[in-house]
Amino acid sequence: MRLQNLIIIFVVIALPVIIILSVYVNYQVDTANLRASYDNKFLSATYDMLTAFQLNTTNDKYSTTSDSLVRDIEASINTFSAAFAGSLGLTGMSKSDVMTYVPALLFTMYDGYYIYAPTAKVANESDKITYDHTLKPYVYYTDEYKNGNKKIIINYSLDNYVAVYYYDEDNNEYQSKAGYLEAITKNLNSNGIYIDGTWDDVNKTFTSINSIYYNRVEIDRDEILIKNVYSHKNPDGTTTNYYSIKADGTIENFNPIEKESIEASAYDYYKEAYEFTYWYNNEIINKFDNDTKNKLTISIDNLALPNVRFKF
Amino acid sequence: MGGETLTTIVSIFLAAILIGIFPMIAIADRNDDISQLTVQTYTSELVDKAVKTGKITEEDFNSFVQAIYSTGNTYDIDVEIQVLDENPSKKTTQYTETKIGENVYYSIFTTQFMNELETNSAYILKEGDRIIVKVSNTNTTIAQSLKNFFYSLAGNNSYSIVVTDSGTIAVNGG
Repeated sequence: MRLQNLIIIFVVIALPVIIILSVYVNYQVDTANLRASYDNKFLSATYDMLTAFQLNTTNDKYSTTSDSLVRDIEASINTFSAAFAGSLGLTGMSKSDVMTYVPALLFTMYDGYYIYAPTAKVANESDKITYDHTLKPYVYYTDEYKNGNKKIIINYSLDNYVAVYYYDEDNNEYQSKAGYLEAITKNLNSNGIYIDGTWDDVNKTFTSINSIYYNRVEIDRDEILIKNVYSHKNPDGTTTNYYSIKADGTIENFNPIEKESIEASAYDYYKEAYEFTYWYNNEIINKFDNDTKNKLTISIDNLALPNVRFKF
Repeated sequence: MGGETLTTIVSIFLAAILIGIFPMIAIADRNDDISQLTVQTYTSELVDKAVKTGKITEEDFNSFVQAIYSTGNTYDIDVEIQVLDENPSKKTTQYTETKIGENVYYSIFTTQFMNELETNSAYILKEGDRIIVKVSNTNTTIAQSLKNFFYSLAGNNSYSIVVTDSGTIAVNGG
């Protein structure tokens, strides 16, 4: 056969295969592009929802009360559905139509969550069960641990703040406390909170403290200046410091104060965290079996702390 | 001899298709993709600017129109602004009477928006309003016309470049 004929036969066979493969690849590319486009629109609708939530809560001093919070969340859900419909170019779409494509919206708060998800409605006369999106009641991050007749309920939060409820049915003992959990240590060269002071074993608190270390760094109290000091140069060349200006603009002469307040919030935090963690480990968790103790005791071993020494 | 002529004609025809038409279709398609991306970028920039500044100036809008027309196609731009209607007659015991996402929105469409833009050189928006911009091409691109020739599927109103973007305004403009 001539080369020309062979070439034509080759092209006639290869061309349809090439066309089909390129159409298939184009479909894959279009699908990936469309998925990316929907993801983008969804993300921007979520961003708008959170912007609305932020704006509503910032402008409302009662935003932390539950009724106001529920109202803020429902308003931000409305914003989400309108923004999502708008970004798809379907501004006339109702909220219930948009929510058909959204299985659930979860609002993670500091110590619990709200979830907006389909709920089965009570069956009507024709025995059909319908599903509508509703905002479920607030669910706390809580867990219960039992050991015989001893029970402990812990309410968690997004950071290390917990509320602990302990009940012993045999002794009819009930204890509850809330505070920050941190790893505590009796060794200065170990990570965690180390306090050099006098410990009162009856009241489980420090009566006097010499120093506090956290991860081998000393926590000190900072003396800070919280009043503005105005310097005035007198005619004789000396300088007088004032710390207050009257409403009419004249300077009021007070003794200049350079140490108005002591910033001790870190100091107090570590002291309180130590006392709370001590109570938690020794008064509560110690009463449970080994499995529960291993799971719930706060120590250096079960907290992934970095082994660093700070240098200045 | 006749067989040879037929083979020659078929081979020339195939060569023209392979060397000429298919690469042209591929490049025209890529061109449309690039135009789509360019228009998407400029539309997002316009919406972002409106969201962050709370207003659209005539200058911003004109430079947006010029930028998208620089892709070589003509476009139909639809702007819808959903204005938050603060309803003071709503009874409430709370501190804030109105919340974003709770109240009624009324819409301002392209013609009203363009009139306002021409009259005042800017359209001022407030916190909570929403802006939706939709751009679609009105001309027939090369890829579209080639596809029409081969597949006869594309109708009169099909677009190959469609971009929609929207945002909720975060600051009061003006």
